[in-house]
Amino acid sequence: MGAAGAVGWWPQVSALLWKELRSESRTHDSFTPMLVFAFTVVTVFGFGLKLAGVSLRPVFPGLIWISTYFIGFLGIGRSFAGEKAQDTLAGLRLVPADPSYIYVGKLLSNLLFLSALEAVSIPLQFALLGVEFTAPLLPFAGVVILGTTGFAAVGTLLSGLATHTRAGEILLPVLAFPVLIPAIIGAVQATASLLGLGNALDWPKWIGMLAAYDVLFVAVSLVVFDFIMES
Amino acid sequence: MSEDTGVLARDLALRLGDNQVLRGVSFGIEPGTVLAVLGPNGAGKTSLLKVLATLLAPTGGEVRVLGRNLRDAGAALRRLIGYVAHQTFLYPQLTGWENLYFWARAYGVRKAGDRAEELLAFVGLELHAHETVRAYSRGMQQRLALARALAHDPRLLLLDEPYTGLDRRATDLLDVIIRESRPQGRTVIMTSHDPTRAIRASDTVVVLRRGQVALLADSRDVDPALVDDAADPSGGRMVVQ
Repeated sequence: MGAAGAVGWWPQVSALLWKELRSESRTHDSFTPMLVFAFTVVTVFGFGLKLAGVSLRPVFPGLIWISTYFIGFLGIGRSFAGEKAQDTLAGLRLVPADPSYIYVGKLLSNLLFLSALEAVSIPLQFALLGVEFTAPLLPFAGVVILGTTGFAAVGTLLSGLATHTRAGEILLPVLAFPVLIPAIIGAVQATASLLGLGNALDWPKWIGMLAAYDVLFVAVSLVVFDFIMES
Repeated sequence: MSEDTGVLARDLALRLGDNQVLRGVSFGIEPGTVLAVLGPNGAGKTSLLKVLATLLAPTGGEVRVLGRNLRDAGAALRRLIGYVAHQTFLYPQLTGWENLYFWARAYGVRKAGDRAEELLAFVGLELHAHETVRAYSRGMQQRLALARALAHDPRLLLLDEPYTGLDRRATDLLDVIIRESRPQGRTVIMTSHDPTRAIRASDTVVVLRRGQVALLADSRDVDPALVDDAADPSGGRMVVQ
């Protein structure tokens, strides 16, 4: 018989991450709907704003982040809904590790799915909306990573909370958007600054704010996740 | 009985909302023995198992499991416990091998892939190892759920109504698992609606009635009719040894 070895925290996180990736590779439950929705959102925004005769460049930072967050809810909402539907959440709670391993495993898988989506959807938005990419690449990538991390940190936590309610996935955006307002403002302002809209020297300040937001919400989530799972 | 190796409950109480689910439940069993928990629906059998599995925190009394206080042990204790619940805890979109590999890794089992193959052979599913669980019959899923609970070679195996819905092959497998637990020193606690089968498989019987112990006895001294009397709220007889 196999013996259970010394169990830390990372083995459970990596096991859960492996399970999430393997499940997604088989079902495409998260990525495919997100990708389809991304095409739809970009197309609708593009046609709608062009018909209104609006110049897209000034509103482009807002469009990127609102569409990214809306699209992201499709995937993040599935994080715990699948566990609830399959009655596996209690099994995950029985694993010999601090329950925060569930949060971290889900957060990392959500980050991977969102990053893969953004690698497609953001260049697509620049191309389809006809906005020239003039930002320095590394700071822009930093803003995308930090903005996505903040969204995933809050979304993963509240997805776990929403699982305990009847409204479930529908409730998630309602709960999350008020909490995400600082992250949205920081991400939009940093993106605008990097694209030369407004003060071009402001972006380090907004990146600092995004980083602080991410650290705060990941830390808070690690502390409260155990209570959410027990409730 | 030894406090350091078996399972010992003293005045265990559990309250869920306004409902007092367990009231002063006390029993003790030696390691390597099988305890059957019997009683009608709502007697508190599943809740007792959830407390022992650390899924529910007791609101009173003390429970020592394998020498550790249930309140303090946390993850260290969960490593020693295998739990077969009403749910299978299986992912239908993953294969049988993938399910066992995942749970073995989550419990820190070394060479999780080898362990998954070993368990699939043990429960007779090696030919279906790479089929998704969605395609498994109910009986095959039950056998895989048993394998999942054994992935980390637990010292305490908790079985909640394990015979319910099992096909013949899964029933035989469960009998083997319970029988082989004794020489391996593994303690088994199982709930059941079937007194005859549970008494035959166990060493000790506890009958719960409205969250209280109505009968605690050696299985050899208990017949199913006595269990029905003890569990019947109108019976009025309480036999506690």
